[in-house]
Amino acid sequence: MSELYLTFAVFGAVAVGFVCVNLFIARLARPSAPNPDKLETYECGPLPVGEAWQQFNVHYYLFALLFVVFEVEAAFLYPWAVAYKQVGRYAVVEMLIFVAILAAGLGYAWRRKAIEWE
Amino acid sequence: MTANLTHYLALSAALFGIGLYGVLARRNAIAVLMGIELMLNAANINFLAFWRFLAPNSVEPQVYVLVVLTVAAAEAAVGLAVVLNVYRSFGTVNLDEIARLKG
Amino acid sequence: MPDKSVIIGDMQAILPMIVLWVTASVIALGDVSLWKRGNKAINPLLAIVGVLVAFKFLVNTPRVASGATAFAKSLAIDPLGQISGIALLVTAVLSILLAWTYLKNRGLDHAEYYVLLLLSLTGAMMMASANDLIVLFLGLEILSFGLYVMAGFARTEERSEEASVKYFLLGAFGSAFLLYGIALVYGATQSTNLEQIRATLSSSSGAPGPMLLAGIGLLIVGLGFKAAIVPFHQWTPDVYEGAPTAATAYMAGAAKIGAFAAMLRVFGALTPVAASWLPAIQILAIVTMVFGNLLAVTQTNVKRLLAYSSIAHAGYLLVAIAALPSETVNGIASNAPDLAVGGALFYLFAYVFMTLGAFGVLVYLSSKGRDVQHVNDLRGLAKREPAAAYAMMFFMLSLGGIPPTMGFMGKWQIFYAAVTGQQIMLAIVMALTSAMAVYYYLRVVWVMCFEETTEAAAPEPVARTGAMAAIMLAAAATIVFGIAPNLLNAITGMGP
Repeated sequence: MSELYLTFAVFGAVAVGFVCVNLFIARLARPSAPNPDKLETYECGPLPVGEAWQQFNVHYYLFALLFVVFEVEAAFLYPWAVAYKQVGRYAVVEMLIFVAILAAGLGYAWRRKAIEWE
Repeated sequence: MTANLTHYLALSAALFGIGLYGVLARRNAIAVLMGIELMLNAANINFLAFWRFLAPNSVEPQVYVLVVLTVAAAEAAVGLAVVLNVYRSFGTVNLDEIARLKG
Repeated sequence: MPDKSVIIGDMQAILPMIVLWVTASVIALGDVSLWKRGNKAINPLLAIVGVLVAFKFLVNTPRVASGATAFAKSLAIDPLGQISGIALLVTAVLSILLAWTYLKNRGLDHAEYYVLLLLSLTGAMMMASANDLIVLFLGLEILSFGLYVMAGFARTEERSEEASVKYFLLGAFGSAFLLYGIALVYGATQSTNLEQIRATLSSSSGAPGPMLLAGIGLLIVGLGFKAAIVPFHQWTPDVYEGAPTAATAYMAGAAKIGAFAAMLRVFGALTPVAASWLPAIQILAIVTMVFGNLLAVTQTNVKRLLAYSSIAHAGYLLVAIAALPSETVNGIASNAPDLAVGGALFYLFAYVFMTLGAFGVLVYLSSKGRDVQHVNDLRGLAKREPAAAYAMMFFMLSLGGIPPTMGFMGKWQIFYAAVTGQQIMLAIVMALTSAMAVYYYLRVVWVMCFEETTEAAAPEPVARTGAMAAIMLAAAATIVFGIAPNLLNAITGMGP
């Protein structure tokens, strides 16, 4: 048991040591040329604009909402899928009704143009 | 040492307490909503702990947890819509600034 | 696969709820695809038809004394569920009539209002016949989600939005307590079924454990938030004032019936451990009656006044709850529990008629430019609008518990149940606070009859037939059932 933990300890020490040694060697080898641009947030090349804490477009809310609806539907589908062989036709009908109710809600949201990006 | 029922109940009580603190101490409507969700999930931990230690052959608590998850999701959806409308009217979600009604 | 007869029995039990849900779906989908938001009158009409069909199915359900259940014992088919269901459907008809007028005059007549009303009504009916704590929780949440949105239905008005967010946050807070309480009660009794809980509690000897006590305490807090019991009442005045008046009326009726039907069931099941919760209920009842009435005295806004009055009425209903465990008095079997349930149900009917009627008068007087809610808006009403003023007078007398109105009969029944159940202290506090309440109700009557109008005439409302119909229905019921209370019992199948 204790040998197992010893292996982990050695492994951890090697992992941390490898990073530290490499960074130390790099520090000795690299030239030093300070530049304010280097301190900017890296965003795949383009210049960062504004704060990171910004408000998102409120339209995302509707998509998040629809996502939650179908996520919860999936949470109900899994136990149903496990049990439906034992329950039989009754389970199929029940799940069809459940999905139909959700579909009615989705149809309403669709007709009210809730899921179109204006 | 293996965890027993008391440990789970203590965990759930702590989570409920954190949620309660969030509701009472935070003034941001969204943060209050997050506190309420923590309180609901504390009840879920209780259900599962009771299932595991007191009634391992019963499926009921697992079904309850699913039901509560659904209710919590619906509550979050309704709550966010309500908060969104308040933000449109008041320009803030700080509960101290949303006080046009007396009392 | 369950037996066919079981499935049919289950479906029959929830047929009224299915009808309400189908009507809501037809209105929602029809409004966006068939009549394309063009025909505004069809939505309330469809809603009323749906409620009446549901009423027909509910009344036709075979009456079983007690013990019949559906959906694996999670729904009870009993007089308590059916009669509070009838009260809920009556509330719905009156509120749809009020909403028809109010929403049109305020430029808010969207189909979604009726959809939300019918869906939340489904939740309230589920709550009223819940025989299982989880079903009760589910019904409560379905009821509340609709109410949260209805409170904020006037989307451009800050007051309405504020009411909505306050109601939502405190309501959700309350249901979190309720759920945690349910979890603890489940841990203590290994069941969420109310019959099962009662059986477990009566067979176990010794004092209830800390888990059960904590669970019961949290249940009281959670239900107390919904029923607006002091000290969990703080949201009530603000929400009642800010919400659109028609939504306030519906909320006042449906939430109160749902919460108290559920409380009658839950505390009925907890009777074997009554010693642990009865003192708490007694103290809450006294505090609620005293503070509800005291705070109402200073109000000058009629909606806030009715909010505090609804808190006071919750206190009277709590007296009925406190009489529930008195199954034996001095060793002799007592009918106090039956009297308490019957009295509470009669009182809920009375509360619906007089409160919705009073809100109806406010709706009747409101027009696009002016939302009537201040006491001063009612000055000289007896000369301007005699019909509305006299109806309002009856509602105020009934709320104050003056004979021969329904409010008096309701108070008398609860008072009688309390005395039978040996809750003398509560009966005395109830009588004293009721006498105090007469002052602020009569002040409204005084303002209407003996003060002169000072303001310029307000613009005439566009339509007011619906509100007038609701006011007249409520006023007729307040008087007829006040003079002949047995008539209500005969119609609903209530009482012995």
